[in-house]
Amino acid sequence: MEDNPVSVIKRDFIKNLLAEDKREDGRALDEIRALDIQCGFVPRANGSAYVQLGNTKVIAGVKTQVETPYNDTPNRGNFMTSAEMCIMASPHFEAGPPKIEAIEVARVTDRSLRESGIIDMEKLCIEEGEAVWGVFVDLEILDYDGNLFDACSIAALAAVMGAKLPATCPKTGREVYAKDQPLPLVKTNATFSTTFVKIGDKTLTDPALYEELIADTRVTMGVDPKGNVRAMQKGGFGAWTVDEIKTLRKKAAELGKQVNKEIQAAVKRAA
Amino acid sequence: MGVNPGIELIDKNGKRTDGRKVDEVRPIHIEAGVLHRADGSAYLEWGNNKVMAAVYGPREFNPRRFQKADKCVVRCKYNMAAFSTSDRKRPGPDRRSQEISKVIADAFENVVLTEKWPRGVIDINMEILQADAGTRIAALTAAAVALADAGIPMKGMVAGCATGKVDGKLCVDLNGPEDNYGESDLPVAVNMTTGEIVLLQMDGHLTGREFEKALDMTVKACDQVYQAQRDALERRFTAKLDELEKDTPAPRRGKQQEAKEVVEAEVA
Repeated sequence: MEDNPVSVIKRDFIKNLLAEDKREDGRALDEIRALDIQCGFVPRANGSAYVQLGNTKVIAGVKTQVETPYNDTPNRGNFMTSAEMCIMASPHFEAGPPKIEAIEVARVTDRSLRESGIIDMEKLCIEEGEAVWGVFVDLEILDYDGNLFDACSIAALAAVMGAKLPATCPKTGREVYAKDQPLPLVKTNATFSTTFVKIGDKTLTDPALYEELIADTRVTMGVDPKGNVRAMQKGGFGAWTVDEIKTLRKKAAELGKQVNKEIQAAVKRAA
Repeated sequence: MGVNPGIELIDKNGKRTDGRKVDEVRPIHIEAGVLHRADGSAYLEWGNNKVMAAVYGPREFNPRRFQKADKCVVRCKYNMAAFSTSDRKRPGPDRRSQEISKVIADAFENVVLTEKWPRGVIDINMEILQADAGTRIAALTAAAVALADAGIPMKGMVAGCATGKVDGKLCVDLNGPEDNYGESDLPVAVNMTTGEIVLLQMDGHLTGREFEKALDMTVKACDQVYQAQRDALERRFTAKLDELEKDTPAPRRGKQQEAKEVVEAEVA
């Protein structure tokens, strides 16, 4: 992904600042960058959200179409999240099939949405064993300045929360409803991820690009508004202690409150 | 192009479904310099089209066997987001998007001063976020602004437009419904300084006379597109100037003034 090695000067600069609990962009260690969410950015999609987390920019689009269910879940809808790291997002991204980093981002985002149960999958069933709604969340990463996990997760959640099931399936032409319906949601389960990285002995939230590149390890936590854990992913070569993970889980729940408010507000603005 | 199920696309007053005249382009809004990482970028809304374009380079072209000894290569990538169309589009390149990438690259190769960077490459990436007819021209229009935003010297600004035939009448810049039932399509891009045509495609059916008229209409319509491009760049660079003025430090205080302040501080 970002294969360019970070210069020694840059690395030392960030580490020296961290020794004084300071960051390059002036944030506190547990402060999230400015967040801007625009729901309904792509009206052509059934649901969408444009998210700016600092300079990182991501668009999530939801598409729904009638499909046959999987054999083991004949009465549940299908759900899939995929991410595309557009080559415009960084000088180092290359064209081609999705790289492992894009797959990881998509799968972690997928898990925190799927496992949270925010979408009532059984209500997506149209005819058991025959027809269900398939919900596709596609993420377009447009500008990469660190922490794609959280930007993607927030965008995907906001897009899903504002999404509609069309009266007529665009693909099969099947008429399912008399008019467009909102996705069947369990709003109290709105889950998105919060990411932390460790550089030396300092832990910081919402890493910017260079913080992410020099980080020893990373952990992404999908925590719902009640503090329940729904998805988690550790990354990077370093390691976390048990206590650190426990503390960060609480921190994620606390930091999530404000972000959750912003997501709800953005969904309401667009409605 | 489907068969028109009896929708009236042009009414008796010569107005189209969205109220435009036959030679009127949909509203265009462009914002330059929107992406942080890219060397140049532009976001464009043209009717219901939404396009992001980014430019990287000129930079070294690797692997080296693709380099050209006497000039740089202009490499284009046109891509549609999965959610940009009414039916979900399978992500990734297909034959259509590869062809579009090529004709756009050919257009820019003509205007960019490629001989300034032997062995280099300029990457132009275009992402269709929402599609509503005329996306290739929308992508090219945004890309031209992104190139200018990146400060890449060109022989002229490239603006484009397309003309189609609706209900037997020539109309510039077809919208979604018109495009679905339209009978022809003629996308053109023009170097606005020289007036030369740098991109030209055509499909459908036009008589010789219709073709000549359509070509003239398209080239004329490019003026409206060009105006939107100029506006975007003007806004971008006046904002940049304001920023520069703000960041310029105040003139340095003289040595005497400094000494006086130190003395005053000590006395106090």
